[in-house]
Amino acid sequence: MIAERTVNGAPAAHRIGEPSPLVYHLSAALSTYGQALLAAPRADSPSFPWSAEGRREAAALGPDLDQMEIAAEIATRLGAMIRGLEIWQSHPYRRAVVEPPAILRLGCSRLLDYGAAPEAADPDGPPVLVVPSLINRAYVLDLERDKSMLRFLARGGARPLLLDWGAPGPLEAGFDLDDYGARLLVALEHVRGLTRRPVSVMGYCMGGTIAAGLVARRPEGIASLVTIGAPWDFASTEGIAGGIRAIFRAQGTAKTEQMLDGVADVFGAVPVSLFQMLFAAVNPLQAAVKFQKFARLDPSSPEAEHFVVLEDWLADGMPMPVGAAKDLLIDWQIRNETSAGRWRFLGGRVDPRAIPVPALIVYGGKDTIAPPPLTEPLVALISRAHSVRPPTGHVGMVVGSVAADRVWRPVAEFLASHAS
Amino acid sequence: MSEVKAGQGETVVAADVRATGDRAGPSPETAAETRDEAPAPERTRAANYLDLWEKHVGDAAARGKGISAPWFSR
Repeated sequence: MIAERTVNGAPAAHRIGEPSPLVYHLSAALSTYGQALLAAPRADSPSFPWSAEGRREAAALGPDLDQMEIAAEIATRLGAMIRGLEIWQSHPYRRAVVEPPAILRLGCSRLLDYGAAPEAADPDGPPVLVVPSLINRAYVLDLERDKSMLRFLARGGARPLLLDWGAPGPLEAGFDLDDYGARLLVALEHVRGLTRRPVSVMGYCMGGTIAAGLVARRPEGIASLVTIGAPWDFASTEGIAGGIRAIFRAQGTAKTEQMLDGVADVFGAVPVSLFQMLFAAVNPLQAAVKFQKFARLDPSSPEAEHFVVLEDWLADGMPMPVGAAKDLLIDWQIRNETSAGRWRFLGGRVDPRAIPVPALIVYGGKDTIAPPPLTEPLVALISRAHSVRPPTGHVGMVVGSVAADRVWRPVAEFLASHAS
Repeated sequence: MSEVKAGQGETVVAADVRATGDRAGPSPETAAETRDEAPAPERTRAANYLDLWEKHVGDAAARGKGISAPWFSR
């Protein structure tokens, strides 16, 4: 078995241990398997709404599927899902990464200096201000000592400075994206003052979009820009997040705003559960399928531990202030104001064509959160843009099996070659 | 190697260890290989049907079809 881990001698934080809210994910699986049971007698019908490939496979199954056997198989699968959840919940892994020092605190946000991490080759190396997403925790970029993009960059001589947004507190309750942008600007000025050097800016997921906005609006003293899986043009509804976008577009801006205000009245901010429920609405069997597969793994295997590491991170999301959520879900997702040139940030409209510095746009070929139709347009808009398209998904770009070779290394080389 | 969904539609590479005994009857892969030789047991057909259902729902979700059970994708 894997030994219990500690951080600085104290037990590491216990995991949250559920896709939230668990009852929703379980009932979504039950409901969708139930639909499969009800549909079985007509599954081989030419008029059944399968995809073309699915229709061929369904026809090959033959007529008269036995619903009792299907019900028994559903029970087995739901049992395996619950067993997988229990194995995850009781898994001994705990993240035990010692963070580098915070050199600046702004409300609930902290600026972590990876130049002071033990892996850093040069504490005074070229500074890279790192902007994470606002939905998930920033530590995906420093998931484990041996699975850490930021420590990799530090080992190569850069000085990554991660602006960990942190979970919003009373100070951030009224924040919209522009307020977070103002905080980012303070962090940038702090890094400039500290290092007296041009600063590169690197952002992941919606942090990449924010980073592009920052560099477009305030390019002075910026060395280069890197975006990883950063959506820009939200016209497409491709991908899992596209399904959510389609739902919100169908609702319209007024209803979406009303819904978000209602959520904020009850919870104070948009809870993690809402975002997780939306993903489950788009793919109601996702939790069932992945925990069934996990249940088949040896819990002490590296594969199982990697699964636990990622699930712990995914379950450990952050609530979002309603103002920021409106910007994300209405202005970006529904109105596509970024691509339309109407996104107002840091006192003016953001035009990526105003980005004068070299940029590296990294976008995953298998990304279903921010698929290429959303991320690739930045390449054409930024005059000095280079691009890398690794064959990975959204999370795989920063922690997957090919991340080091296909993302971390090209990013490190790009940053080193445009450090000043 | 195959991929395990890591959440929110994402995948990470992991060994796909299909334990025998996890489900009754042969695996769907084995069933497909032997379909010509013998009629598939009803439980295997049920498993294959649910595999197809799971794949349809997952693929439709990845294409961005919104709520993605077959009923809603017409």
